[in-house]
Amino acid sequence: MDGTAVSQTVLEVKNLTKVFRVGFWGKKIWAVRDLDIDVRRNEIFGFLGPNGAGKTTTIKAILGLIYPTRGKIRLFGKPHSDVKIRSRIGFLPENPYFYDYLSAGEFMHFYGQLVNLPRSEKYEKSKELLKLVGLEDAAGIQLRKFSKGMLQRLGLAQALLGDPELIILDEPMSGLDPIGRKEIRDLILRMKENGKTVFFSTHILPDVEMICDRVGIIHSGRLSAVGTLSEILGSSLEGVEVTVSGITDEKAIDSVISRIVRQGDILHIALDDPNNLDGLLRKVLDQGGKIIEVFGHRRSLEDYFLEAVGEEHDDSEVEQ
Amino acid sequence: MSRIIAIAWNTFREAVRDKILYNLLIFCLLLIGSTVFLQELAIGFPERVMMDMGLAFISVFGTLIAIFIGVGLVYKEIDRRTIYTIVSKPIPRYRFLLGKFLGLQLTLLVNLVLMTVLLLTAIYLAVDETPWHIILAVAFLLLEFMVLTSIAMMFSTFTSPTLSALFTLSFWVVGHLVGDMRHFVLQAKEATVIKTFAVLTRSLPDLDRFNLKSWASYGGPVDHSVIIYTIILGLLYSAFFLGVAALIFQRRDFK
Repeated sequence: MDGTAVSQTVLEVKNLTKVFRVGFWGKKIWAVRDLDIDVRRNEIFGFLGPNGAGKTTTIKAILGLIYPTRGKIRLFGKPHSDVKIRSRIGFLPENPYFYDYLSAGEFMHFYGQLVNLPRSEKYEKSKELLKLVGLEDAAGIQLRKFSKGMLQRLGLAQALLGDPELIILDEPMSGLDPIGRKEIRDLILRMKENGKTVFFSTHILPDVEMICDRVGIIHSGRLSAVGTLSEILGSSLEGVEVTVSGITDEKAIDSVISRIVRQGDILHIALDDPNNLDGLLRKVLDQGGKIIEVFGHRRSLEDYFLEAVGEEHDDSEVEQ
Repeated sequence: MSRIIAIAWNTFREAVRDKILYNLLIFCLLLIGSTVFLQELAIGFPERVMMDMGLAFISVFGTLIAIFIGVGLVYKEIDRRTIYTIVSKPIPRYRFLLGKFLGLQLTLLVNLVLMTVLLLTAIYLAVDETPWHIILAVAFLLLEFMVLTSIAMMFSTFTSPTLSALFTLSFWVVGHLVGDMRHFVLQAKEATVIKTFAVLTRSLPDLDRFNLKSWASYGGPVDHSVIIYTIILGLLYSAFFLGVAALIFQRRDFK
């Protein structure tokens, strides 16, 4: 790895393994196995996986909330155990619960002190961040009266205190309505615009497709894929749908067709192999037909995710 | 240091916004106030009855706060997951513990000041005298509560509040028997008994050292060296238990 690459890597996880011991006999539960991730500066990295895949365990290990059984974690090129490094990180836990006897303003001031904000800056920054997340009018309200969405937004505001470079969000959209989810997505995009790096876990696929630069997919504690969406899904087409009219005899064009449906003069043609598209279009035109629409099918993240999760599920069933 | 103060202040704020603490405090203040009527029962030296009863109430009330708030200090943070956003900030875990500990000491101090002021006022109203010397007895009680808090916190770093409270109460009971055990060692004849009790008296915190309640009733001079020795003892006991708490807390996974 060259020097530039090192400075561009904000978070580096190597061979992370975490084993929990549960029950009276200390039965081993492998929460994460040999996980490798690198998150680069100013990217939005989506950490995708079903519930119980090991996302939260990985995040907790990164933040020093739990100790890895094996493996190394480096933040900004330094070991994650270095407490000082945490001043460069903001964190929003899953389903955040904060001190409910505090008002939002008191809460932000308290957390401002924890990240060592100077007294004068503390009040100004708290106000600014509450405004950013749309809670400026709720500064005097006790947190026990906050809705889930409001708590989530407040959690984001506290994660941004101290102007951290890396923001780690654990399931930031979970339990929110579509408007709340869009608000959080917009905030994440705004963080990227402001030069931040965002690492967030989720099990909601559209969120990842909409805003992530790169994605890591975790299932049963193992990373099954990592990269940009096009790297993971491939850029090639999986199939093509063609809509044509003016063809009276389907047999004249059916040599390469996978499926065909007629609706009056309109023919809906499906091709499983996109390489056959040129030949089909030529035949349609030769027969005096008219091409109305050509629509290419790419593989979706959902297809990939279901396949990956499904395969591993089958494997684990076989192992058992 | 500012972060330790912030955590301590927040712990204090949590305690004073808790209705249970208010209920306990009002109950205790009423009891202390009632000593005005109890002194009517005394045959001579009514202020002694008031001091005895008042200090006993302060002692019980302070012990209850130290143990029952102390055992929840860390456990509640883990159970409610508020600890996640604190420990992920640039604060070493031991400083978090220290902040929580100091916050409870501040809570105890404020409560003890309130109760002492009321007791002194009640005695003044009853006998037209102010026994200022009881402040020293209350200060010693505060040292005992400091030790109890550190014991409660130590247990709460690895077990449930119920068990922590039970273990801390056991320490409190046994800690007040250490003096008696010492006398027992002097009178015992069997070597194993002597050895066992000698080990126990040396390893358990001697909480009766902080008990000046009897002295407060009768007054008399207190040697400065005793005061300094007791303060150092309180600080050492607390440092030891907090040290053990920090070691356990440092190694904990917050699942």
